[in-house]
Amino acid sequence: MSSYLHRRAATYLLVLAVALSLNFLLPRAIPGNPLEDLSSGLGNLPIQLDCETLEALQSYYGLDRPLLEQFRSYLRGVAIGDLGYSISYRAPVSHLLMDRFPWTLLLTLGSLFLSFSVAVLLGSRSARKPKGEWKVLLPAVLFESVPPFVLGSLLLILLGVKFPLFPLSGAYSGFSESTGLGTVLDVAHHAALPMLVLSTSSFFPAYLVVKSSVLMVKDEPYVLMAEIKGLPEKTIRYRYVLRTALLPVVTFLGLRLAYSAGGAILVEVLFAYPGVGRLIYEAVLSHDYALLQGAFLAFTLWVVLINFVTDCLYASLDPRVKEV
Amino acid sequence: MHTWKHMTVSLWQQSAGRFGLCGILVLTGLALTSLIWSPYPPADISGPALAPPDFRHPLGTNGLGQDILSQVLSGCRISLLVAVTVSLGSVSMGFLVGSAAGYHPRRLGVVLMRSVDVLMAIPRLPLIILLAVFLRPHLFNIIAVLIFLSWPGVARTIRSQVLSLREQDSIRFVRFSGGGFPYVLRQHLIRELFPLLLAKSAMAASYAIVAEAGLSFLGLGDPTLKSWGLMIRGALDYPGLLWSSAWTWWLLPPSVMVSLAVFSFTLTGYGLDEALRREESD
Repeated sequence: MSSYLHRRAATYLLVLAVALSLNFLLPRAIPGNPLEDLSSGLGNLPIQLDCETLEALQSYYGLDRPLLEQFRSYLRGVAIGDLGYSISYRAPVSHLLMDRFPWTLLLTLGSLFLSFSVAVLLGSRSARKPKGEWKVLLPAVLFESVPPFVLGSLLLILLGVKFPLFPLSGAYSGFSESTGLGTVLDVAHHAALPMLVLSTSSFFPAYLVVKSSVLMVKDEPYVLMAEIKGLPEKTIRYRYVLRTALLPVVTFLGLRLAYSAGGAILVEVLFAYPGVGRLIYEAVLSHDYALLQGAFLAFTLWVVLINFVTDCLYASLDPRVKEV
Repeated sequence: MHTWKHMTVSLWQQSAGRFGLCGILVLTGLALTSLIWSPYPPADISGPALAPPDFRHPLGTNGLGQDILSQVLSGCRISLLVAVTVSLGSVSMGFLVGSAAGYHPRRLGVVLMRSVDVLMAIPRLPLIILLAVFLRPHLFNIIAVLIFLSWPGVARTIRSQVLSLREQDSIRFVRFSGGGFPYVLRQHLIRELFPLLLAKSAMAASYAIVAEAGLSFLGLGDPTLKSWGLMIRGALDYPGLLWSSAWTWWLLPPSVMVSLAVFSFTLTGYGLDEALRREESD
C-alpha cells in the first residue's frame, strides 16, 4: 500500500473516531439524563422513582461509572456490532439498520444510474457542440435549485394525486399476492418517483464533470491521429474519447455514491420510503437516541467504506496519485 | 485589483448574474417589507381555515386560519437571515483557516487540512440532524451548525489558491521585507481572493437556504419562527390537503419561494465564477 493510501486510511480512521466520540459525548453533554427522562415521562405516564431505585437503575445501566469506562464499554459494543437496543421498535439497532439499508441502497443506486447515464449522454454532446448548451443548462440549474423534498412534494401531488400514475408512499404494496416479476415491477413502480427526484440533484454536477473531462480529452494528439486515420466518427467518439474521459467520472460517481445515501433522508421521509433515512427520522420523532446514533454511525461507515474503495481504485488506475 | 464596482459590472454583463442579482434584490425587498409591514402577524389566526385567496387574504389562509402572505414574507426574512449569516460566517472562517494553512504549509497547514478532511468526510445531513436533535431548536444554533459544516469546503479552495499566491513575486517581496502573515492577509490575500470569496458566499448562501428549509421540514428547525420549510411541513401534514385544492395556495407559495431563493443565489454564484474565469483568461 502506498503512502497516499496510508494517509487516506488514517483520515478515515479519524473520521470514524470523531463520529464515535460525537455519538458518545453529545447525549452526555446536554442537561438531564435518561432516568430523569423516565421519571418526567415523554408522552408516557411519569414514574416517580425514589433515590434507592434511581441508584439501583443507574448502576444497572452503568451510568454511575467514570466517563472513560463508559466510553470503553460503548466502543467494545460497537466493535462486535452491538449498537444498542431501539426503545421504539423494541429490537436491536443493528437488525433494524440491516433491514432498512437495502432500500436506501436501491434508491441511491437507481438514482445515480439514471442521472449519470443522462449526464454522460448530454455532457459529451455539449462538449462536441457547445452551441445549444443553454437548452441543457437552464433546466438543469432550474431543477437543481428546487430542493429535492420540494420537488418531491409537488410531483407527489401531480403524479400521485391529480394523475394517479404512481403510488403515494411505501416501497411495495401491502397484501399483494404477486410473485416473481410482479414483485419486481411493484417495487420499481414504488421506487420510480423518489429515484427521479433524487436523480435531479446529482445530474447537474455529474454533467459538468463529464463535459469538462470530455473537453480535456477531445483535443489530445491520439484522437487527432484517429481522425486522420479516417476512423468512423462513432468509434472515435465512444472508444477513443469517452472511454478515456470516464476515469474522473467514475471517481465522482464513487463520491456521490458515498454521500447521496445521507442526502436521501428528506426524500425518504417525504415518500415514506422504508430506508435508513426514514429510520433516522422516526428515531428523531420518538426520541430513540440509540437508533439515531446507530443510523448516524451507519451513514458514516458507508461513506468511509465507499471513499476508501474509490481511493484504492483511483490509485490503481492512475499511478501518478500515489506519489502525491 | 478587484473592487465591488468592478465585480458588479462584470456580473451584470451576463444573463445568469443579472437574473441572480435581480432575484436577490427582490428577496431583500420582500424581507425588508416584512420588517415594517405585514398584512397580519404571521402566527395570528386572522380568518377562517383554508380560505381561498381573496381581497382580505391575498394568498389565502392555512389550516389554522393564519394568513399565508404574512408567513411567506416572514419566511423570506428568516431564509435571508440564515443565508447571509451562514455565508458570512463560513466564508470568513474558511478564508482565515485556508489562508493560514496555505501560508504555513508545513506544520500548521498539515494539521488544519487534516481536520478539514475529517470534517468534510462526515456525511453532512445525518450530522446536521444529530447536532440539531441534541442542541436546542433555536435559530442561532441552526446557523452555528451550518457554519460549522460549511467552512471546510471554503478553506480547502482558499488554501490551494494561497499556496500559489505566496510564491508570487509581489508577495514574496513583502514576506522577505518582514511583512508577517496578518499584514499579507489584510493587504494582499483578501484583495486577490475577493471575487472568489464572493462566489463562495453565494454558493454557501444557497446551501444554507436548502439546509434550513430541510431541517424545518423535518421539524428540527426553530418551531417559533414561520419559515418556509415549516410551512411546507404544515401543509403536507394537514390531513387530506393533497386531495383538496388548498395546496395551490398553501404549499405552492413557500415551495416557489425556496426554489426562487436558491435559484437566485446559485445563478449569482455561477455568474461570479464566470466573471472570475473571464478575468483570468484576459
